[in-house]
Amino acid sequence: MDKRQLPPEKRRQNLKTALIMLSIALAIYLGYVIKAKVLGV
Amino acid sequence: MSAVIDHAPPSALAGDHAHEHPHGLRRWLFSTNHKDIGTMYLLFALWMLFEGGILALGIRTELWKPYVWLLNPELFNAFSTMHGIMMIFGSVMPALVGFANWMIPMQIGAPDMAFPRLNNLSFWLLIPAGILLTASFFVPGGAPGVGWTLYAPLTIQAGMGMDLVIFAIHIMGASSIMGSINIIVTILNMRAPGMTLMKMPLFVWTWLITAYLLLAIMPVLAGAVTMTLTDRHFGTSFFSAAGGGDPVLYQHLFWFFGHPEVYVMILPVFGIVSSVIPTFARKKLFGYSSMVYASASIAILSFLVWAHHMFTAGMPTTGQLFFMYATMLIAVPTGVKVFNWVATMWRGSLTFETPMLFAVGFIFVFTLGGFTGLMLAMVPIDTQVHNTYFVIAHFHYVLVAGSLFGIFMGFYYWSPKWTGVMYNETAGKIHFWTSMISFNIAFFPQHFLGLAGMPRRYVAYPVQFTDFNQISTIGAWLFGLSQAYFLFAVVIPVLRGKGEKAPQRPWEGAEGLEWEVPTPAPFHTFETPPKLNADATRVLGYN
Repeated sequence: MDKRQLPPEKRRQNLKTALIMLSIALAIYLGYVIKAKVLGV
Repeated sequence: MSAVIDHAPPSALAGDHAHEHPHGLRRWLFSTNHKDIGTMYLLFALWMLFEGGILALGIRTELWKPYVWLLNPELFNAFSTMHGIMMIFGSVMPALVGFANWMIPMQIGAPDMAFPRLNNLSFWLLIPAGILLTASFFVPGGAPGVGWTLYAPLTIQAGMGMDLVIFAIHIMGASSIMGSINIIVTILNMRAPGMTLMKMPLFVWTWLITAYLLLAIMPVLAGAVTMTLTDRHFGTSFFSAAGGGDPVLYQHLFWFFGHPEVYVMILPVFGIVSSVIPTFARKKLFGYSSMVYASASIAILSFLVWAHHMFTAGMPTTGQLFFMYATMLIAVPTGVKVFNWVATMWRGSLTFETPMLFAVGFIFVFTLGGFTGLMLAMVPIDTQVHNTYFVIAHFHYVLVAGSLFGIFMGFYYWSPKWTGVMYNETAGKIHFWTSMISFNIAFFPQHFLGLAGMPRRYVAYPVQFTDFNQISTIGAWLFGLSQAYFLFAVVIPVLRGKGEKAPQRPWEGAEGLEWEVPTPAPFHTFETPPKLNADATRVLGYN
């Protein structure tokens, strides 16, 4: 393994944290638009 | 230009085994190295600083005379809109992300950011965004003159330039979200053993909090501009009253993003100040944990105050009272910070190299901007000075004397580690004093203009405002010249490697892992996790 690559378990851990963060961002983005569209302004 | 050395000296090799890296264009285009990407962010920010600065000089030059004489009113509005957008999204934010890229991995003993390829994408997305913003001036109808807040319904009626700006904001928002995810994951998962959360340098802490803020607010802005886009082109009526929509909804969405955004631009600077003052006072930072809690409190409160920007848009008295008191509450954690910085200096062995001059100057002028913010938080005062030059003066005291001076401070403090050479101290001091004096000449009179009733975003004004406007314009030109001096007398020489060779720890009182690596910082650092001392400020060896 390339010395500069992170160990697989660390990469998995990083990916998991990133996906949690991404889901928060997506929920906020879509939440506002869908709320305004469905429930009106 | 090479900000990072190709081959580290033998002493650098502990914990740092691989120095090979691509050369030429490939090094920068495909870079996954946090230091190279940090350098590119800083250069992008410099480009936008000067482009936005030229627009500012255009605005101020037009306002030299009370009547329209240089720019037509549409172009004047476009200049003020694009000045704001370029400075906020193109300059201050990317510069602070550049600092984060350079310093966070080195300060926590990590080999790089958690997602180096994502880091590359986050940066390179900014280039098309910068081009779109610039190009908006050259499309039919020109750049939008709707104000940097992009209020509906004006944005729905604006020309094609508006679409370019919306697209640019989407791209920059995506870049910011990816960047914040990268920063959060890096800080949470990549710290060296022994670097517990409460031992992290304040700069890392403030960036962790800022990244969470960005993650929560950028999607709101993205949602608001997406709705603007669909209102413009796809027949929806989110913000158009004619179709049953509500323009005030846009204001709520925008300021739910816009107020925390102010803290996105200032919290990392608080982190830089908290690094610089202990170094030049040769004392530990007073009240470390209270600084952490104060930063978190500021971030949380920043979500509860957005409607203080909308006191005049119409709101129940209870709403006004809530947002007024919540805004005033932010002064408490901010006061804790100012107190701690002053207490750190108290009986310290102070010296006033350029970074420290900027830190002390920052405390004076930023606090002044904070005080006028408190004034604006009061509903009766805000009702009188809303959308006047008093507001312009207030936020320039916060964002120029706060954020921009903080960026200069960080550059002077860390550039020896980045470039391997010391900047010219005399040039640095000239830059500080000329900036500080000209900044106050430019913006202090604007308080008086605002109190006397001069509205913002007006191309012409009654003749009684001429004197203060001319003083302000002289100050703005001197400030612009001062930044040109910074570029030619400080930045370009250090990028070319001209100057005295910097030692590993150029500042006597500096503490932290970034000063444990050789100067200039090798291309790769901390590839092997370091063993740290109890304070997590020194490397004892490598695991």
